[in-house]
Amino acid sequence: MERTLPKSLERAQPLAVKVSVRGLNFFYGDRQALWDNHLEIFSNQVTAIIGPSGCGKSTHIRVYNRIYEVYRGHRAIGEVWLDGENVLAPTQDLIALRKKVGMIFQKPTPFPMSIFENVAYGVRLHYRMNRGELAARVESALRRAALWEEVKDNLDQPGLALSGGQQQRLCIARAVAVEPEVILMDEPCSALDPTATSKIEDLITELKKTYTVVIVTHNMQQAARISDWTAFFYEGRIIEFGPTRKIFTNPDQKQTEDYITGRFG
Amino acid sequence: MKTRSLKTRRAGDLAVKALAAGSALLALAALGWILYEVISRGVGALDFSFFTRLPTPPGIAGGGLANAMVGTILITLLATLIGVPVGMLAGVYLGEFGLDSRRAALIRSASNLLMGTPSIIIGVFVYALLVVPAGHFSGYSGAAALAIIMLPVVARTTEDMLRLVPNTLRESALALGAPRWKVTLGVVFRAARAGLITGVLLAVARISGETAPLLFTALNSPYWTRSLGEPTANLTVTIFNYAMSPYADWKAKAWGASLLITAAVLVLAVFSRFIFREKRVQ
Repeated sequence: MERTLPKSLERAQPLAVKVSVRGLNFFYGDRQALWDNHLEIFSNQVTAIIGPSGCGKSTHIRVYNRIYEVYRGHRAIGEVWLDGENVLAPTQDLIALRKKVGMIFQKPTPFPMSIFENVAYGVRLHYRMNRGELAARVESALRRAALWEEVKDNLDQPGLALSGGQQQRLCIARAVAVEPEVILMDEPCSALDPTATSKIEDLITELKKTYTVVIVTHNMQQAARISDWTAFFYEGRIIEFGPTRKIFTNPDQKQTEDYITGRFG
Repeated sequence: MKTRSLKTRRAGDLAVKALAAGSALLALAALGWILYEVISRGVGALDFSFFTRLPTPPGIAGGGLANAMVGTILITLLATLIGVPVGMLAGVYLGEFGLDSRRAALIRSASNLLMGTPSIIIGVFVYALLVVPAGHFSGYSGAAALAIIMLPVVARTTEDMLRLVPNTLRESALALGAPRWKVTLGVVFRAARAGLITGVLLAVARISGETAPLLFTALNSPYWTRSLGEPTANLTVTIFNYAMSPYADWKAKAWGASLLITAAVLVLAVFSRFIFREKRVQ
């Protein structure tokens, strides 16, 4: 899906649309959490989703890989197109979808196994390979997550023995190892200290060369630093979406400006 | 408005404290007394032949309860092999799939009811179900009765332990494209491993002292166990029989067997605590 952006967005080169959200509504039982969301996520770009707590940021990206379905009564209505396929179609294969759309969570969630096994877990789910191929795959994933140098001598150590920032990079390696196309990050740094945060931020900038990244963040400086596009959510609606620089310097909507300048939220 | 007297409040505080401490002490004292009696009277019976020989007829000194030990171990092992997988799968259903559905709630209360059912009733149930049709008592029916007793215990602890595993862990495995059953067996079970093992050990400890269900099923035997298809010697029924007998030698052996079972349960309990603590630290 090649697509040229409207002139108003002032970008020269055409960007490919990776994910296209059309009229998405979301319900927690009887309570509606998202209202008529429309959004385009571009390939090999970092899209930040910002907004006050409880505005539906996480809810929104949790639709992309249909992880919300784990819970009874959580329903999404609308369309989310990924490479021309509607993710929300009942015929959509969840395993194939989740191989394509990886996710990083707020709290690092290493599995209770060794560092090596953590990364190998996802690989084994989707590929049949011999010991050598697997080891190479694990190493390359750990390198891409900028963790290899720190753990290469301790691959047999439990993943839970790593520091918080290392655990989060381990989770990124685990997600990257299955070769997804889109990586969703749900406040990946909110449990980390500033040093670890800056490492993850550098990593995200590196990752977008290969993947399409969507990151939910509470931290507006972070959104400004690392994202190319920003969507501002408020009370389940997308108030404004555009290039990050524009959203942060010259937003069209009053609500966006109020939030950016810290007048609420 | 008047300020409450500080003195009465202090007195009240002291009274509650004393009552609570007294109750705790009472419970501990009972345990201590039992342990003292069992050890002091049982330890004398534990000689070499106690662990290696068959029982002797009344009046003839010597002999041992080796056959009953073997029988108890066999019956407990078989009961564990049946009760643990079934109980665990039931717990998996409750903790991973059924959750708050009505069907799960129904199963949960049925399981709680089963847990509260007196074990003698389970013994009679298995007697009617297996012993009467077969026409004779057997170790198999004893194992079946004990397995039924284990079932709700294992199901409950499994559910509790699985529920302690944070949902984010399940989500991250699912988000990698893992099917639900692989998430449960490969990730959630691993995260809950220590708790699950503890649950199994406590369930084993729970059944190792059961007597009533075995009276109706495995009965007892003065011989070695050749097959679990016949009445099978076991420690608890032996204690029951020997303690009721008029022979001093048998009574001494009953004390010895009591000490043995108490020690085994204690070891299991301490061991399970140790495993649980070990994992927590990690």
